[in-house]
Amino acid sequence: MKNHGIEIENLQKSFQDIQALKGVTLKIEKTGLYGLIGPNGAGKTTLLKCVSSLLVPTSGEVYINGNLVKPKNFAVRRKIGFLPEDSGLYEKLTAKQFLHIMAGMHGIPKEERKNKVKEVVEFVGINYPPSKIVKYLSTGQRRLLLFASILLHDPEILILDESLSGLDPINREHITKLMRELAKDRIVLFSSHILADIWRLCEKIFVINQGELIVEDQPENILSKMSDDSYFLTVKMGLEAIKEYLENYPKVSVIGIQNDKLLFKTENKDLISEVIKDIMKDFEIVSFGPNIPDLDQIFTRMVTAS
Amino acid sequence: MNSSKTNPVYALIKKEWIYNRGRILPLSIGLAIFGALTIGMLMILPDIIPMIEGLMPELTPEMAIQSYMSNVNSIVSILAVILCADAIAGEREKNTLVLIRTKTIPVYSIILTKLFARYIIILIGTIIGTLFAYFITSLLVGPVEIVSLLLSLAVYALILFVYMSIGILISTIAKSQISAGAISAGIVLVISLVTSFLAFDSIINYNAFQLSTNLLLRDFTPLVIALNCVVLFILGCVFITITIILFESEKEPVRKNI
Repeated sequence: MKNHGIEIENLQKSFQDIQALKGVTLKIEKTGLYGLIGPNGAGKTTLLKCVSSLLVPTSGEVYINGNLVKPKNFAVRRKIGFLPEDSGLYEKLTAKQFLHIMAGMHGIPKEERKNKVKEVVEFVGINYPPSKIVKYLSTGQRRLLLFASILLHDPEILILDESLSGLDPINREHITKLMRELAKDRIVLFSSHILADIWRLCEKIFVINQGELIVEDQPENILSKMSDDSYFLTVKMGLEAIKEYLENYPKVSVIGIQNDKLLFKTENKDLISEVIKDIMKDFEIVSFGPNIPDLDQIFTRMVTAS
Repeated sequence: MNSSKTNPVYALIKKEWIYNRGRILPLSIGLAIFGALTIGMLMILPDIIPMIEGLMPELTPEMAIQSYMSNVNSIVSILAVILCADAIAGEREKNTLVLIRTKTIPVYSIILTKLFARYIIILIGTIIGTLFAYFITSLLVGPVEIVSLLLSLAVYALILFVYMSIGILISTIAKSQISAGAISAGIVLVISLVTSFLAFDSIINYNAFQLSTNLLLRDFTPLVIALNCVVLFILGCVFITITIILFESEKEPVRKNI
C-alpha cells in the first residue's frame, strides 16, 4: 500500500504499434510544483492522462495517495483536478452556467455551488461578466475559465497539461502565480514547452523523451550537471587571434567560437585568472565568465544524451 | 463528506437540456406543418390528378392519420438518429468529452442521460405534431379514434427508443458526428423500407417496426401488441447495453476519433 502523493510504477502505454510510454517510474511525495518537459511526442500528455485516469495503461500502475488509479475509481478521480491541453468548452453556455454545471458534475450540492463558484472566480481572477457566452471568450479568458472549473472540487492533486501555452505574458504570469499559490498545499504536476517557466517554478523536473524518463532532478542540480567548467569571453575585435593565442597557451583547450563567444577550458580552475591576465595584456576583453548553457541548450543536451 | 454531495448526473442532464431544448419548438412546428401537408395532400390529390381518383379509396380519418404516422415513422426516426449523432461523436469532435470523463459520472449514466435527453425532446415534438395532425384530421376529414391513435403513439415511442439506441451506439463508435449521422440514418432508412414492404398477413403480426402504423388500420390482439412492445423494449436495451460496454471498455476514452 502506497501512501501520499503520486507514484507511478513501470508505466507503459501503447497505441497500436506506437509505444508512447516505455516503463516510466516516478514518485512525488511532497506538495509543490513539479514540471514535466520533453520534446513533442515524448509522451508527456499520455503520462498525464494515465495519471488522471483518462487513459488506461497497457501495463504498470499509478497510485494517488495510495489508491490505484482506474477509470472506475471515482474516489481517486475526486482527488484530481486535470486541466487538459486542448479541451473544448460548452460554447452555448454562459461562463456562470458553465461553472455551475461543472460544479454540479463534481457533485457539489446546489446550495453550496453559488459560494464555491464565487470563491473560485475570485481566486482565479475572472474579471469578465459571468453572463458572457463562452463562445465569445478570448483564449486567455477560456483558459482561466477552464482553470477555475478544475478547482471547484478542491482537488488534492493538480495535473496541468500545457497550462501556459498559447497565453500572452500577462495571462501566463497570472496563471503562474495561481499555480504557485496552489502548490503551497497540494501537488501540482504540469507540463510545458516553455522551459524558462518550468525552470523558475519547479522544485523538481522530470524530463521525458521517447516515452522514457531520462532525467529527474532539481533545476539547480541539472544546471550544475550540465555545466562543463568551461569559460567564455567576448571581444570587440580579433576573436580569431585570441583563439589562436589560446590554442598555443599551455594547459588551455579551446572549444570553439559560438555566437561571437570564444569558449575554452583550463586544466584547473586556479589557472583561469592567470590566463585572463595574460590575454588582457594583448587584447581588449569585453566580457568574460563561466559558460553556463541556456535552457534550450541544456534541454537539447539532455535529450540528445538520452 | 460524500453523503452531502449531489448526484453529478443532474448537472449533465441540465447541460443536455440547455443544449437541446431549443429543438423542441422547430420540431413541433415542423411536424405540425408536415401533418397538415400530409392530410391536405391526401384530400386534394384526387382533385389535382383526376387519373388517380378511381385508384384511391375514399379518404377516411383512419387512412389520413395512418398516412401521417407512416411518414412520421420514417422521417422522425431519421431526424432522431441524426440528433443522436452529436451525443458522443459530437463531444469528441469538439473535445468536450474530457469535461465529462474527468468527473465522477458513471459511463451508463452518461449514455442514458444523452439518450433520454434527446428521446424526450423528439417525443415531445412528435406528440405535439401528432396532436395537431389529429385536430386537422378531425376538422377536415372526420373524427379519429383517439384510443388507437394513443396506442399507435405509445408503440412508436418504443420504436423510437430502438432507433435512438442504435443512434447512440453509432455515435459512440463513429469517427465523426457527420459519419455517425449518415450511418445511423442509413440504418433507419433500410429498416424502415424493408419493414414497410413486409405487409403480408402471415408476418404482419411480427412486424414490430411498422406496428405503430398498422395499428391504425388493423386489429391486433392485446397479446400481439404486448409481445411486439416487449421485443422492441428488449432490442433497445440490448443496443444500449452494447453501447455502454463499448464506451466503458475504451482504453482511450477521450480520443478525438478512432
